[in-house]
Amino acid sequence: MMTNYFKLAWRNIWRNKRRTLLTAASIFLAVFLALIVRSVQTGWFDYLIDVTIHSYIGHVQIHKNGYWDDRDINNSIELNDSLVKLIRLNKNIEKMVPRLEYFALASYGKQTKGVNLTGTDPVKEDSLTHLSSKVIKGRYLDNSGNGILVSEGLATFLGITTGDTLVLIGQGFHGVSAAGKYPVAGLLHFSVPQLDNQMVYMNLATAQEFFSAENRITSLSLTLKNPDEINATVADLKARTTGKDFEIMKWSEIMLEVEQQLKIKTAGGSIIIAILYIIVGFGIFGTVIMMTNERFKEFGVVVSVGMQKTRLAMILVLEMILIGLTGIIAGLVGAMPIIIYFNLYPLHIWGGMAKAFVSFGIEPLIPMALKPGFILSNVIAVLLIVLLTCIYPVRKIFKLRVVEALHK
Amino acid sequence: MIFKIAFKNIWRNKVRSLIVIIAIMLGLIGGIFTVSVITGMVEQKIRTGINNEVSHIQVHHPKFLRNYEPQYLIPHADSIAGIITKMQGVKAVCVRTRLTGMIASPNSSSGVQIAGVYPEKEKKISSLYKAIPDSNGGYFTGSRKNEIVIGRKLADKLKVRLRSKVVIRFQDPGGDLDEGAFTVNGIFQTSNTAFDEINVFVRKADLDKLTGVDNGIQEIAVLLDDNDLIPATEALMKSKLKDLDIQSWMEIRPDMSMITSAIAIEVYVLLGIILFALAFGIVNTMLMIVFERTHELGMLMAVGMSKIRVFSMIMMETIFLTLIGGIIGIVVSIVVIALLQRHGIDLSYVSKGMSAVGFDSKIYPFIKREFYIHLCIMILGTGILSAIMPARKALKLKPVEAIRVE
Repeated sequence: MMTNYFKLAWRNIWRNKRRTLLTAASIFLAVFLALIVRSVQTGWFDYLIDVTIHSYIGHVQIHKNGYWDDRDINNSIELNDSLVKLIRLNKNIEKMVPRLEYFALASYGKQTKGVNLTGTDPVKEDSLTHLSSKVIKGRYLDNSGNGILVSEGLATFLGITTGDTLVLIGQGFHGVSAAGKYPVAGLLHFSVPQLDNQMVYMNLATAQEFFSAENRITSLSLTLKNPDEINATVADLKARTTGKDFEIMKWSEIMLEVEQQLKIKTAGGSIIIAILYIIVGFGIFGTVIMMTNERFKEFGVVVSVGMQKTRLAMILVLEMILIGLTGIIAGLVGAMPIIIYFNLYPLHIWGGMAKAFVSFGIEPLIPMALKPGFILSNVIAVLLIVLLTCIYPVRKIFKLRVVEALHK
Repeated sequence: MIFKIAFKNIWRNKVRSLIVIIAIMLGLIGGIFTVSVITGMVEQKIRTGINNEVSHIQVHHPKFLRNYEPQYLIPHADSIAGIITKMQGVKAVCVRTRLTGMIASPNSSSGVQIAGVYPEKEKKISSLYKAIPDSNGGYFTGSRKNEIVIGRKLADKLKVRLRSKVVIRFQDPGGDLDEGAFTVNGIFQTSNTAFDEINVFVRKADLDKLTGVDNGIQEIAVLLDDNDLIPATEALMKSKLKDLDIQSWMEIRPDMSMITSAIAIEVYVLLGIILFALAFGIVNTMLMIVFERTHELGMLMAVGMSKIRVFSMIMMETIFLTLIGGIIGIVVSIVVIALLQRHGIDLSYVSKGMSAVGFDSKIYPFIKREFYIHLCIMILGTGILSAIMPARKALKLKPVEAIRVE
């Protein structure tokens, strides 16, 4: 029986090719535009998140409880093998970057300035943040030796360059006074002025010695193999470290601002998609109305020869679904190559927008996202719109009076 | 004549025409509303940025802005300020000492930009004093010496409250390191947390007493009657004050001006997408109409209606449909936006993210007048473009064949 309906519906839609193609074209446009817009948005947000994570934070950070609110060196934790082993027990952990960060005064000649002193593991740091790519003069940190990296803006202010010796003064662990002289191994360039004016990097061991904080770190940044499982991983890490007085934070908790901005933008994006659906929905509705009016006489004829109205309505809905699927498939065929291409080769943007990107330290790229999630949800949404437009012809059929319909 | 027929044709099938009109209307209302929210946010950001932070124009020693080194003073700053005050369109002028330093509380310390100001004059140029809620003190309201006004973010970072003691350290223009204890007199909270974190204000007199010498003037801020006066006033100042660095807010805060230009592009891209989708719907409907009326069109041609007339009749119908929808859409949008402007849209539930980038949590939607003009042109263009294809289809009909179509 079902196959008969199907056959009838299939033949019906090809009886008037032009009408079917026009309706399918509306649906094609809905799927095509929605997919492209969503893919650009999602891709852009994922890219921003990725940039945020790889600029400094990692996916997850571990600190002493209360460190994030009060970034004091006394709120540091001891880094030892048992802690590393404990964390490694979670199989989702990819990289670990230990850092010891605190405020210090840097002095050269007559100039003095407050700086953010970061002691880190050169190799691990580079694998997360690609710090070595920011070296514009001199060389990157090596595993031993006490050479330091100074950001360009700070170096200009102090009038210091590679080969010179920088004096650092500060307060170490438990209030011990800290002071030391360090040769400048390289200069770094950060595109964000705030960083460019205040960063000094050195080896983790050198920093621990400077601050008299042996084996201590202020933060441990982790990256995950599968970022989508971040919640489970954090829960697991919390369970493993109970009683240790740690705080384990997701990147979204650390960068509350970024996360909330993304929420606002996502909401804005959904509004745009909603507007698109409304426009296209009306377009489809228009063609459906026309189709109903054109075929009204035909409906009258089939009902008068004994076709049940329910069956007629079912065939009609089936027709719409078939047209809908045709449009959806066409939309996917049209949009997917574009999405796949720009997913592999992100679009480079230019002009004022690109400058704005660079000023925030972001490479001016727009990659398109390729995720089954939003593709499926858009397909479902379009199908629902198509089904919604069926209400009109179905109602017409149930209200149909044979005599009137035949005289149309 | 064609005009009349086309208009009457539209109402022959009311439901169909209404659907196209409603689609155009809703699409435009959605689009205009989104644009108004985006524009409103950006305008607000720029207005508060100018009023609280940078003013319209700033004057510095040519070398000062490179590293904010305090020895680069503006010579004869007071007489220069006097000259600027007399210029046309200048609302207020203010001189400041600008130093870079550190602020420390018993709990924590942080790098800051210190501004030494004349509070009464400062109030005329900067509305920052209005950003201090009553519960958070005032703008140099106390009579004690060494009062400081800081931002909410910095206060939280340092864990200080009103009347807490903080110590500021800085390098003075002579190159000496100075420090002094100050009492927190007021805590301001702007929509830009980054600004709140790094800017502190003290009386210039207190600073000078602390260092024992006059710290000089590193900055003159100028507020104009209107943003549009910037180019003229800037040019005039540049011609009169040759040895100084004169910059408008657009140069001082490239991030602010770049957001403006980036948003302008985004807005037109958004409308482009919406109009494209609408055009598609219009073409679709009009094509159907032409196919449906093949018989009728063939008849018209057979009785002697010229092809040009048939073509322009279909063109007219399409353009009418588009314009009716467009005009209703724009009118409704204007009303909706005017209503929302009165009360604003409260986004405080996500406001932390908004203020982090310098946006207010309450948005007052806003649309520039020229935007409506551009929009009308775009709508008309959409109407004409989407009319061409259906009208051409009508043109290609052969009367003999068309008449036979049922």
